[in-house]
Amino acid sequence: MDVLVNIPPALLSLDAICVEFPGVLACDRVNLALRAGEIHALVGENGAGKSTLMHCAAGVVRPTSGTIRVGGAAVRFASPQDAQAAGIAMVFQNFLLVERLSVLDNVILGSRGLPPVLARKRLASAIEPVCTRLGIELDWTRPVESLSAGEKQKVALVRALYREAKILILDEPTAVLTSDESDKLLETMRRLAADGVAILFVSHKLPEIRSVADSITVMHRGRAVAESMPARDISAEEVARLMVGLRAETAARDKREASLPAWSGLGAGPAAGDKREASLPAWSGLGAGAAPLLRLDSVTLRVDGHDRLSQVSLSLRPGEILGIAGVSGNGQKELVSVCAGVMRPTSGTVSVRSRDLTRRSPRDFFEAGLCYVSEDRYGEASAPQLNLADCACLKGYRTLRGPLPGTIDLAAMSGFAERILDTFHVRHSGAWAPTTSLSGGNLQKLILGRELSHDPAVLVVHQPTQGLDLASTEFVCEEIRRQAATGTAVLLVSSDLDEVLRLSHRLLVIYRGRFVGGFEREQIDRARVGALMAGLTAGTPGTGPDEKGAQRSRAGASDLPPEPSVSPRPRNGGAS
Amino acid sequence: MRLRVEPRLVPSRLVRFGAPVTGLLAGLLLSAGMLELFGISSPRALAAIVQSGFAGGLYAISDTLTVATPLILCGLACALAFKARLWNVGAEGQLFLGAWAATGVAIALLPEGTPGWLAIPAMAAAGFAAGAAWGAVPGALKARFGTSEILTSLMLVYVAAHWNNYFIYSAWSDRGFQMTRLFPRAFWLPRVADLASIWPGAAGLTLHVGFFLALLLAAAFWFVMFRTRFGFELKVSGISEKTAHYAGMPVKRNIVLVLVLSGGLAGLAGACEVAGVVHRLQENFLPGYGFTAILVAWLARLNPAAIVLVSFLLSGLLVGAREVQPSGIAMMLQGIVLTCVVAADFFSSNRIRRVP
Repeated sequence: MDVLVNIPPALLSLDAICVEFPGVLACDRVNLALRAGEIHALVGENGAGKSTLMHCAAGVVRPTSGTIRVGGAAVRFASPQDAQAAGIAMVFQNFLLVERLSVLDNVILGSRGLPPVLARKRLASAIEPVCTRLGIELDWTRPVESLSAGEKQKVALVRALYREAKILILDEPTAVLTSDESDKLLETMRRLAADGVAILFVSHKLPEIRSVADSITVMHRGRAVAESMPARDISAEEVARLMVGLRAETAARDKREASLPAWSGLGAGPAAGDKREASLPAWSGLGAGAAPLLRLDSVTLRVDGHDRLSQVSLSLRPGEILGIAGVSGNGQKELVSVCAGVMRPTSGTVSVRSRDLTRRSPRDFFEAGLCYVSEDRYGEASAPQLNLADCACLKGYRTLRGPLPGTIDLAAMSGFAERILDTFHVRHSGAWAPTTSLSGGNLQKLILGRELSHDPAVLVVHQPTQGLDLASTEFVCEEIRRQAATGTAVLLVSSDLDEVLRLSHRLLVIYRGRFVGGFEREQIDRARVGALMAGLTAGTPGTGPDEKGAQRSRAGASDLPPEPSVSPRPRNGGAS
Repeated sequence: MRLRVEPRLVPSRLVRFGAPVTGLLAGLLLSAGMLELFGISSPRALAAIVQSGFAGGLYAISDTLTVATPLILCGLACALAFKARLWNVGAEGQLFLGAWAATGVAIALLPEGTPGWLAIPAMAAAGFAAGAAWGAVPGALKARFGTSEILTSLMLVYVAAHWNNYFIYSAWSDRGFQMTRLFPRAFWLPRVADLASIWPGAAGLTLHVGFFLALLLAAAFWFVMFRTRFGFELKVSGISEKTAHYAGMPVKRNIVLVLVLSGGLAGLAGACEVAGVVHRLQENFLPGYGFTAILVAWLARLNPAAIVLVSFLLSGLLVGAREVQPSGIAMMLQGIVLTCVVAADFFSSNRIRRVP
């Protein structure tokens, strides 16, 4: 760790970049220097201007003023193709893949110099080395629409790297990955950096930033509050403070904190982690004797001949948070969809508050008191062209009756929306503003607020904090916890292991559509959970889920003996 | 220097209204050129069109509004379906079948002496029901099997046309002519001209009560869309079917319901046309209003008030162009003007910028 004698020239430098959108100064004189072989983390809350800055570098957005230099020469990108030609590749947060095309077609899409007749097998074998280098396996012929978010990320990454980029820009690359997948990705990033690739990546996860980043730029409200700082000169807490707009504390204290072993390995820093876990009340045992509020019995879901879920059973007690851990794409989407009635199981039964709703509509589930926060914020839980009032009343619109039959009371609608917007501290500009005017975190608050406003007996949440900044994440977690404390049964499905570990009273691990392990809170062993998520069972690495695993899952479910006697719902209210 | 087309994020009011007007002017200019090519004096021809389509006093306006009636009704039919992102392009067929059903009620079902207050609502109801049934077919196929409603609704237009021809040529043919016999006088829709006894100025005005029904339905359309639960469900389904399903909305039921109502509106247009204008069913009694309505709905951006306005302008052009001979010229002018307006519409949502 000597003083750098030869500072290599910046491969990419952004000088005094300003980007002005109508009414917003998204970037305000931001400087950033990225050197060959360097991994540079760009940190900041949602709406801090990180994405905009990256879009400038990738040629998606043209800066209002300021200079972009590649290898010392000033460049002007009129389009992403120009940036690509300069060796800059970007993996977008939403991947920008063509859903209907196959994996291979997506990878080669837009490549220059393709032959007029595509020999797909040969092209695939040409890309194979890139995948091997990254440790990624892809089924070339599958349509992208059938992939999970985690798999799509891999496709996007391969597409960027296959074009031999010198500069790789990653927008929240681990947001949809599990810790295991993230570790692999971080390892890949290190390897690429060793090859001389310069990597700029956005992340909210401080541990991973600490583990890979050589330097850090922190943004807050369009300004860079720390510019290209060497990572070892800045502590995690310092970064967190800067992100949320707090002033830097004394350097001495920073140094001391930086020397703490807080950053090594997985997981949040112990200080922060302890604090959070200490604040989690143990399960109240409120509904220990009550009938389960949500029950799945041997649910199998077959889509296109594949079992997305096989023989899945679970039961959810009042006041309990049941976490489902797993690598994304192992049936989580299908599990929550079945729980919420959005998909119908091929076999098995689903019941809410002891009522069999197996082949009923999402509305019946909702009216039985089940609320569901989908991970797909822009395509399912909300939609871009809706306004805030529409979004807030998406499920409650039937109760906002106007004077005539069949009508909606618009005043009541905006009042309902305003209440949610205020209660959940959504920063907005009026109930009739489009949902696209909200940042991801604020939209998520609105969606969660909408579901909680119906006072659910069962709350199903999928990836509730994906892509959110620290403050929003904290807020969402606190709301989920608070809701459980009132007696709501919560099913929390997330590929963010830390989140699941922090919030859950009980944990099930899902792998290839099956539960392969169950843990009570006291027994949770991070290493074992990780191994199960990766498809390894204790003692037999490399094999798939075996009979033992399956039995454990059944044992996990039978921890909670079903009580046929219908006990009254432990709390009042609800949607019905 | 390069030119690049990019979408306008927020089209300004000026652009949104200026673009179609510019397109209209460009279309007229192009039409004038074509007229000159045929050796027709274009200023005189255009003046004649404006004179008899819009500016020729009450008679011209009455004629134009009469033509506008089926356009408004079919435009609403298309707009309703388009709102829910269902591409009902078969309003023409639904209109034919509505006309057929109304005719059937008038000449085959009801006895000659039935009073008008009974016969006219019965014809309207039959027209609506027949169009609705014709719309229900693509709706049910879409909801049940996911069949593209574009293809089914379009193909059913031809089925409806031939179905009608069977009755026109044989079953209901009037002495071998390709038309049915005239409806009894009591079955005709009341016209403005019927008021001549109390207001002499009304004599000869052919505008019928169907036009006022169309205006009423345009208002109802607005109310349903923006003030009812059903309208809210359509809005959400039109934006994202997945979101609608997630929210517990009856997506499949609404697909059928929307196409039923859409078909019903078009069927009503057919009933109004036979009961209010032609007073019998005959071959090719309409110049493809069901297809023109797709354009009307689209140009009006599915807004009911704009549908009325666009229908009025378009009908004025149609009525006025009748004055120009040879008669095919009218349709050609309509084609040119519409193409230009549609092309200009592109610029209301996109702009061209110079890239240095």
